[in-house]
Amino acid sequence: MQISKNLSENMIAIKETFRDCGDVIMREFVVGSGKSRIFMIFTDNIVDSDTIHEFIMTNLMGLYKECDESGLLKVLMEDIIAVGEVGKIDTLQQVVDGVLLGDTVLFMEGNEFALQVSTKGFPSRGVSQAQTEVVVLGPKDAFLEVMATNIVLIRRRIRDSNLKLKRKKIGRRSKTDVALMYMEDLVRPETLRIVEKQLDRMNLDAILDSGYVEQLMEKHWSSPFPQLQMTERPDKAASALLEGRVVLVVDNTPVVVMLPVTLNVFFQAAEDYYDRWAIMSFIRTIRYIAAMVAIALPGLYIALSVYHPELIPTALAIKIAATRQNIPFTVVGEVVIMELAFELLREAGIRLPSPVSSTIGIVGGIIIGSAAVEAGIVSPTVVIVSALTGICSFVIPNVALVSGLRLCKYLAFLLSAVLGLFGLWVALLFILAHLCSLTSYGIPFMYPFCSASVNDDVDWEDTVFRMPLNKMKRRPIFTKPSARGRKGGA
Amino acid sequence: MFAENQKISVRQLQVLLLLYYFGTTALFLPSDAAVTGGNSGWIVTILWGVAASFLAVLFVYLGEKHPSYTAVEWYRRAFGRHLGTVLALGLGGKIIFDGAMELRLFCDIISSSMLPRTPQWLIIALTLFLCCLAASYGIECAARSGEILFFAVLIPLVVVLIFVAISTNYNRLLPVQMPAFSSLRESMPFFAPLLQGFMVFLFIFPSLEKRRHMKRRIWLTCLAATGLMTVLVFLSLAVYGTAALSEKLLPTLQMMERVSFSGIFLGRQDLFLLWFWMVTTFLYVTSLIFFGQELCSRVFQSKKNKRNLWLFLFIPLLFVVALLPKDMAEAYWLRIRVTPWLSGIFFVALPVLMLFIDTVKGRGGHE
Amino acid sequence: MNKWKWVFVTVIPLFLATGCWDKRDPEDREYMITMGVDKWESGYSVSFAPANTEEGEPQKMLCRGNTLADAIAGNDSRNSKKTELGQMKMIVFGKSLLEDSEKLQSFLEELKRSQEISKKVTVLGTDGTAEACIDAMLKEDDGTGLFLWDFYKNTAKEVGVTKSLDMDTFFTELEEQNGSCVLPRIQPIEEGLHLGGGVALSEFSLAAFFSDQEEQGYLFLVGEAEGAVLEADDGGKKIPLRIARSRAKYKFETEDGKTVCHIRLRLYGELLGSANTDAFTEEGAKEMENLFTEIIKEKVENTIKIAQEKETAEFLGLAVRLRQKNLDDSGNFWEEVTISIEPSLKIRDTGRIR
Repeated sequence: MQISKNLSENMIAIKETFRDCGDVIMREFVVGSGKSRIFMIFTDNIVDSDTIHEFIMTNLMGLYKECDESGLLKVLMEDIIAVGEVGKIDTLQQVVDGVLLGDTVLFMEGNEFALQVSTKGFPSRGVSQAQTEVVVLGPKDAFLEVMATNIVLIRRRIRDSNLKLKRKKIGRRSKTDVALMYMEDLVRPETLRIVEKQLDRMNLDAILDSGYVEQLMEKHWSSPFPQLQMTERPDKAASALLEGRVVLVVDNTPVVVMLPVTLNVFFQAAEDYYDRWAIMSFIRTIRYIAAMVAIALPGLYIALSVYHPELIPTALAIKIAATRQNIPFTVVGEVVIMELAFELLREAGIRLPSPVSSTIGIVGGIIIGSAAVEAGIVSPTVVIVSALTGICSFVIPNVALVSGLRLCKYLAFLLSAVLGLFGLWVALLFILAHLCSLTSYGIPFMYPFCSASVNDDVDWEDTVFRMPLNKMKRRPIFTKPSARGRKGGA
Repeated sequence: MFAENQKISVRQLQVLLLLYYFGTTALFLPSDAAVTGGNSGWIVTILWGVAASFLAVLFVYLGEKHPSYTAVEWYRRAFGRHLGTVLALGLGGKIIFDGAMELRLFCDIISSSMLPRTPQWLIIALTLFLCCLAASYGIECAARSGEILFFAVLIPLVVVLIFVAISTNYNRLLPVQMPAFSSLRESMPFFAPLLQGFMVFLFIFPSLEKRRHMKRRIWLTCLAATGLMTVLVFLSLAVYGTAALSEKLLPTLQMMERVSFSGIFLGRQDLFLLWFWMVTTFLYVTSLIFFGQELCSRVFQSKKNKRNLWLFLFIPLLFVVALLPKDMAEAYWLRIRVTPWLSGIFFVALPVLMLFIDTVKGRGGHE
Repeated sequence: MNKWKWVFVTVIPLFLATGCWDKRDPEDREYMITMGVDKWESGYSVSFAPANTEEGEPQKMLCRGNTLADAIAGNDSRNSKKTELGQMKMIVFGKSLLEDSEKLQSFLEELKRSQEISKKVTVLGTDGTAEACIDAMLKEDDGTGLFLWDFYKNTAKEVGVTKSLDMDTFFTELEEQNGSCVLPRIQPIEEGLHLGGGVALSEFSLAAFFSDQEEQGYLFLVGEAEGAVLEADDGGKKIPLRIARSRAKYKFETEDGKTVCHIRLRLYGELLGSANTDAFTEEGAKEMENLFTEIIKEKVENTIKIAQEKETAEFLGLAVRLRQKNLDDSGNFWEEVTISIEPSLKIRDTGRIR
């Protein structure tokens, strides 16, 4: 509905729209020696009150000059309203959207336009430390729920005009702002095109978190493995942009989405590049081994102790048999109990309030670890296996990937419980085949472990081993082919 | 994009070919070589391996002449539509036979050494299910898996062979004898299954990208596989001698099981080493199923997106044929008797004939 | 299509869950570490030393049957735990079994075919009963054979009185040498167990027992005498020498129409004591070397004499070497071949005094 020149009509329409919205503030006043009527509307608590009072109200109240209708609009825009972003809008829907976004809208008598003044001032916490991606070396700041701040955190790290930002609004009711950020000279055009199309096609009520975006954009939605990467670290987002990847900043979420991804990317932590290459290569190797252990260890334990004890060294086989005397459960049952207990501990640890969580964690560990063994309910070997599996899963820097691995662990465990080592092999090959079938925006998920010849095997420089920065002279596969050369390394 | 285009690279093809050589045949090969070639079994292996590599080059030559052709188009073009279709269906039968026998032999070995009380049909069914799942994802999935599994198979194998080589006395190989022609002839059926991997050449060319230096690369791959096989036979002869080796059923495993070095965690390695053959069987049967699907799609001209429906034909056929032999011995001897004929027809006679027809009729490159 | 997918996805787990056919928990297995086999009536008497699982003192398990499988089935029928042979480390053959060629071959066939028993198992022979060895082992070895196995795996090659022989090599030698081989010997004695000497088999039958010295001669012959300690007597003083390295090379030549087998033993030794000779000089070292060379030659010849008395050269590995060179070998080794033992010893280490 177009804005009417009759201010009263506009006021009635707005009052009707915002009926029973107690936080929407409406004020009518006259300026220009009482000749011009203005109707102001904004939403309390999501505007910056100081901006309204100092740069709008004060200046408006001080306007003594008489103006005609068209002149008033010009005067307000050019002389009175001392705010950086001011625009003209002509429909009531735009008025509603603007008000709900935190802008202040000014109607003027006799004008078919209203002024939308940017006065956003959401309450937010300050920039704090990353919670899930903790590093020893490197910056500690993390994204917030405010998109503008998140964009700033990235912009500070890439002061290049090639860093582009396209804004979109997604969600019929939430109209959540999503910023699509990319390096114009590095990004693959086809990736960008597909992402924009996907964002434009999203049709749902609300985007409450970037997780929604992730799930709606994944091609292989039935896979337990993530095909987009999330991070709360601005340095990681900046690094992804410099590799030619696309970053989606979603309002109200302290986590951004990065794409495309490969499995290798989930094993890279931010501080891999802040410390020396040798130690970081070692730690990367540990992560890959930990991933294998996290998937295969319970299944391997069952396969070897129950089906193929001849494969275990004799002393160990005897030890396992000795410690299992008088245990009421079978090996499979024990492993199930311990794994479930560990999962319960893990979930409880997340949900518990922080004053209590460490205590409960310790108590839970003692109960499960010590008391159950001493009571003869489980054998110590199984406790070690479960604990090691759990610890290995925490070594992997990405939470989404760990969730996928946790599910795979149960598949491996189930097949080992039925068919021993053969079952474990079937499970591992099944997982591998599935991973090899996944792609992320045209790039194989298992790249560069497969198909590395496409980029002359350059991507091997940053997989299990991380080459010295001065040796990494080419950008990875995410970058468009013509822009792969780096000058001077990294 | 380079993925999602159902194409594989030549490097992936090389890896697959190398892994196909190490099917269940490699488990029996040293004792077969000892039985037929005696102390010169390793020389027999070299000779057959080099001959196979030249055959591979012939396939590549034909493939490069007609890069969009699979065996179906080749047969139809060379022999006419009807005869070509019959030959293509015959090739389909070979695919089923080869896949079923490989599956059966491998599952028999698993059954007898690891899971003696588990029903064999379950082991076969599970392996078949896994292969069908991978085949349904396309050849790209198999190629990528092969590239990754290459490190998990070939490198440990080479390391184990190095350890065996270091700790072995080579007296049993002396004196070095050249094989007689009769040995070569007798050994042919036992070496014929090594050619099983050449099925890939009949279907892969439309799915290959960037075919640079392909003949040389494939030839070198075949030679490398021959080298590894020869080392396997050579070391087995050195470790056991002809008499003892001829008696063994799975000498490859037993020989590698002898490796003992400080720090080794496992009590017995032979069962663990079966992982190598799990991988090669998985890749081989997956590829065969995919090729079977391609063959049927092209013969019956069904749509590409309906390709996976052919799995409902292949799964039961492979399963039933795999269960036909009553035990491992029967499966083994069936393969020894039948494979030379099938390989002779589809891997030697027909390609040579097609090359001859192409040359005589002066047909140039298709593209 | 979706319906079939769900049917497929639910059916597979169901019938997988009915399985676990080969599942057996570790506490339901009785790990047998050592097996002793004696002849018994029409079959075998098999005694097992089970693993020490800290439940109490492990007890010897004795079972009898016409075959190994029969005996084990009998054992299983009397125990709550299944006999587990996958962790077995040693097999001891009793004299009664070694003397019966047919029974021995039959038993060996069963062992060859067995998937369960590792081919890395150490095989031993004894001149008493294997059961007595098992009894002694249970008394002397806390690991019911594990420590002994460790001895054969690691230490045996360093002491020069016995050698380790795994089952795979045992079968290979039997095949190559027409059923002949030398097994390491184990003997229960008053003080415990004696590990040393050998048991010579010829055509799958017991040929001779080697004492420690005779076994040493055999080890020199096959080039595996590292660790052997020799004693020379020089003017009433005992001089010890330890062999640090031992190699044997065989060369068959025809001299005056007869085949001569030159056995060249290349040995390196460490002097552990000496007479009044200054071992650090060339003459002194040469004197010591000549002294010990004669001793070695005598040892080897004594061992060869045993083979000559038994009219076979198979278990010494000589016949198979001849066959490798001469495919027309008639099989009468001692008639056709003359042996020439040519030891060459170098003292490479004289210790810390001259």
